Amino acid sequence: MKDARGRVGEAATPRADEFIRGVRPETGPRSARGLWTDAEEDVSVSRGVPEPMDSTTPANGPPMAAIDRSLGDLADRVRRAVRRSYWFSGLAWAYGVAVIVALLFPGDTTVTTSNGAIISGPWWMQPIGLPIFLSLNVVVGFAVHELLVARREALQESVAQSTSPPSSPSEGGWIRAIQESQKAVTRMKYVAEFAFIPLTLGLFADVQFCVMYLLSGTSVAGLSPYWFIPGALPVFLLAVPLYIVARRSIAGFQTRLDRQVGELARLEAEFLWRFTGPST
Amino acid sequence: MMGRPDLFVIGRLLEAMVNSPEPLRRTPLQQKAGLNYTVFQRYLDYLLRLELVVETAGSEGRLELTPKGVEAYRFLSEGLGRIFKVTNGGS
Repeated sequence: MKDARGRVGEAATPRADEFIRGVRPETGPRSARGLWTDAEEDVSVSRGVPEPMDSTTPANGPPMAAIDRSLGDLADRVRRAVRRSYWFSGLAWAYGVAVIVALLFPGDTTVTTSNGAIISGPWWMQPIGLPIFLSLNVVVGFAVHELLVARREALQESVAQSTSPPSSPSEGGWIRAIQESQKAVTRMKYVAEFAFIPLTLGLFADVQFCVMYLLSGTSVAGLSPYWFIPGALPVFLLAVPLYIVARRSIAGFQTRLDRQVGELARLEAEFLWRFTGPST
Repeated sequence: MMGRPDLFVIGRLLEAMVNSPEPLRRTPLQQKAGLNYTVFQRYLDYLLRLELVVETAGSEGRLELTPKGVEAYRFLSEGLGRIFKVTNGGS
């Protein structure tokens, strides 16, 4: 149905001032307008008999199956991103706790260095300490990988790339799925943010230890008061940018879902207004 | 009495009718929309009340879209496609 200016569906659209005043539009059928407030209203009093439509009339817009598929993809992507961020969180916590526990683990040992000096200290001053702490960085690598994959899932703009058949959940299914996605992304945000605490502490302690261990026998050892600098460097070069990236991508994901929920609510309101009239 | 209608369900019902070359009976329509009987019945009553769908005059039990129904389908498919970034080609 196009009006004289070629706009689709404008004829049934009530004026805004009518909406504000709560006046029912004359163009809407009474039976429809009364649906939400008076279910018993007689359909027979509606305006005239509706004219059947030629079913070959083409309809614009994408088919609902594509929209169903798109929503299914979105829900899957949220699930994957959340799962990845949980992996990131688990690895970050495991790493942070492992580093701190390793450093605080008691057990004094006596070590003879290459130049024959005898040093008494914790277990990690033994030669085995360095490879253990270095290998812990592999965990950081896995954690960063998980976070970046989660970010990639979150940033994917197009949601209709799947070739899987569209799913069509029952009534309210998609609305619920989107709302659950919103909640999942909010949880994901907190989980990822808190994971940066052990990750940062672990990185700081781990790298500092490795540098201290490597430099302890050299002339740089005299600069021990400044040894916190190498520990702080990876924090500033890796953890902080990573935190910013994670925060931005998750916030972007949240914003997109919030916008979709808002636009859905607006579409629903507009649909009700256009096709049923005000339901006040 | 129906609460808030699910636009996706309405869209699927209307689309099944738009795509059908001839007026549909209830059961094929229900199957095409992928709804259980209770939900289907509720939404069909709703669409009939809104005059988006009518029973075909000649053959009893068959349903077809009204111009308003086609307009509603366009409105929904374009609106939902815009929100979820689905183009006219369906992908």
